[in-house]
Amino acid sequence: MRALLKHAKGLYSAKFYRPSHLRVGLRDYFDLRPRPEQLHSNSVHIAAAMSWLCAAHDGTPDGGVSARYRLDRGWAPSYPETTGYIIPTFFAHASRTGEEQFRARALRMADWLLPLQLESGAFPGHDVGKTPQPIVFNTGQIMLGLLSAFRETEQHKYLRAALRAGDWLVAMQEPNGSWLKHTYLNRVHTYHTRVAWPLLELWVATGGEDYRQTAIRNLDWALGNQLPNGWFRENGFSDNDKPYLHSIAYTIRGLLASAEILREHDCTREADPRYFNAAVLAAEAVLHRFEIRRYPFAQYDSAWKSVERFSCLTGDAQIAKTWMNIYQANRDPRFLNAALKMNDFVKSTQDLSSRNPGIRGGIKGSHPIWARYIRYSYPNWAAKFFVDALVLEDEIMSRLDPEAKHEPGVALQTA
Amino acid sequence: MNLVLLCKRHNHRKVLEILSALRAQNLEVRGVVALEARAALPSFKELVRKLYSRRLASAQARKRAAENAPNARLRANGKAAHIGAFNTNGHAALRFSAKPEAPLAIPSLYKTVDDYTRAHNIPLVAVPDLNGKACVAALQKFQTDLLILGGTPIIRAHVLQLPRVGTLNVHMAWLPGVRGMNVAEWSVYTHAPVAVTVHFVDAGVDTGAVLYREQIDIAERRSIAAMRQKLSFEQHRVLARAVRLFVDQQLQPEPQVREAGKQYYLMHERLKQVVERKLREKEYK
Repeated sequence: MRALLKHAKGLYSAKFYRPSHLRVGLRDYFDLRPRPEQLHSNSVHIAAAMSWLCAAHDGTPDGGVSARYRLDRGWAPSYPETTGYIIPTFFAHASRTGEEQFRARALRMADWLLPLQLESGAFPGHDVGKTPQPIVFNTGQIMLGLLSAFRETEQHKYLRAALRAGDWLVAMQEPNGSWLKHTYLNRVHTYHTRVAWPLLELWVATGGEDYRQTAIRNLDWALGNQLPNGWFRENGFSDNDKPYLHSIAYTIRGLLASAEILREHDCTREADPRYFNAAVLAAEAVLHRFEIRRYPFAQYDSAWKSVERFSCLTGDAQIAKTWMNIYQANRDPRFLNAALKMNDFVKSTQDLSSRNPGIRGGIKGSHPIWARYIRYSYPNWAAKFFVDALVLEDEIMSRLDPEAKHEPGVALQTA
Repeated sequence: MNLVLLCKRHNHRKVLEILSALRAQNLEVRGVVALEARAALPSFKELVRKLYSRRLASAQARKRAAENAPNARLRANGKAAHIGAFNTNGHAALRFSAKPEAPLAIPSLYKTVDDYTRAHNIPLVAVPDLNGKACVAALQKFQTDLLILGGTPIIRAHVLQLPRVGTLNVHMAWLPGVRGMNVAEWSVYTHAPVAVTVHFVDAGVDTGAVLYREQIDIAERRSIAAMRQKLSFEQHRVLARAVRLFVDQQLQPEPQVREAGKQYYLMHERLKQVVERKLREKEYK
């Protein structure tokens, strides 16, 4: 009874009496999603998601991107971490479509981030408006945005900020390669491989050997957390026993991107496939679970089992992109096949016709919307990863099947 | 050796082909255990989903008909043109609501499994669950030596343990290379040999010892449907031949090296389009 009351209270506070919210609620309750053959082309979904991201950008007055659209309170304040890694997505979209407004927006985001940098070089976690706390992971993600802004503009203010952030990360690392101080809940996290990646990008940009050494120490530490079945220990935000697919995909992506950079730029480690193999091991385990159960579950325990039936759409889009990255490296079509299905799944959850601009084109935190991950909200990072995944799908498919109609695609590395 | 066929009762075409092929090899089937099709009532949620899907499909069809005159003509011309005929995602360009039933590869006087078994005096036991007690009892009653799977859902270990010699399955690809689902399509996609393999069934997916393999010539088959039709017939012929040779002790099972192959899953429509193109242009092994 108490649980029922709690649920009813949640529904009321999420304002499900509003028509646009009620529509979302009913669609999710009955799981009303178009079948794959009824979906629109990727370009339609990408355009809708980009419009949503622009609305999120305009939803706050400061130049950052609103963290999420909440059914109860509308647009949330800007979120520096995800604004950081949204920047490369906007640059890529500008290059793809030729629309200058996306590039201008990306630069406005990067310029908004610069003054947020703390004296130490770190960037704050959380949404803006709260007391700034330096956080390792968020600093790394913002570096990805700053480095892409530097590559685009060659303005050294972005590189200088990234260097200060990188120096802080080097100084904060524990001797075993993990980060413990200034982390979420003051714990070590395996998904910090996604911090090693921007450090390697910084090494490529500057040649600073410390950055490379720090990144490799972290990657080696992360490999030590992997079980023989591919699952990673210490990989949750708060629940390490059942991490979300979101953080699992973070870890895999960090390993993959790092492996790619090292393969391209580091002759001494050219023959070391450990990071790539570790990423493939975990990604393949998720792939088998997805294909067998035909549903992308949100959380996975150490045996890759999932108890609760709901989906973390952010993680779905991330893992789809990761599978395609693996396909690009090893040409195993099973990864592409699973990614196509996963993209279809996330596309089927995107509402393209709502009258509410906070809902139309956005990607929910969870499917159904009342499930645990970012409940009753449309986080900006879900839309970002969704766009990245669809863009990569189009790029791969246009090469694979020249007969299929696609928008012109360009190969771009997005964060 | 007591041969027993495990199948779905309503899967007449497949079962008749297998029984005919076995008969052509002078193999007597001791009994047939068939899954009885049950029509489950859809839940309220499923009904709502179905209505939503239909409404969406008809709305999309109306929109496309308005946009595209040739499409509209197609739609008006016949009921066969499916409402999802043209989509913007590069999926199947045209789908027909009713697939014409392919003729039996081996001409048969019989239309149903029941007709055939009655005419040839083969006991037929219908069961509600192929992993259930009734199925176990039937297999024990037939004193099964060799169980043949003729298009069944996953069979659990306690049933697989019953036959004295083992359980055979026929697989539409070369094992151990291509395991899993849509394997004929994956064979074309990955340039693996298009083949049929008869293998023993173990707890894994298509991982049991291989008894017999045969590469199949699909040169004249320029589409997935045509290829599958050919393979569907050939697999039953190959199965019957393998059983004959095995019964005559001319074949020995060969354990698979699992690492030599990969498990594949249902192929996405966009990759099937690539396969269709490869078949059209004869880009396969």
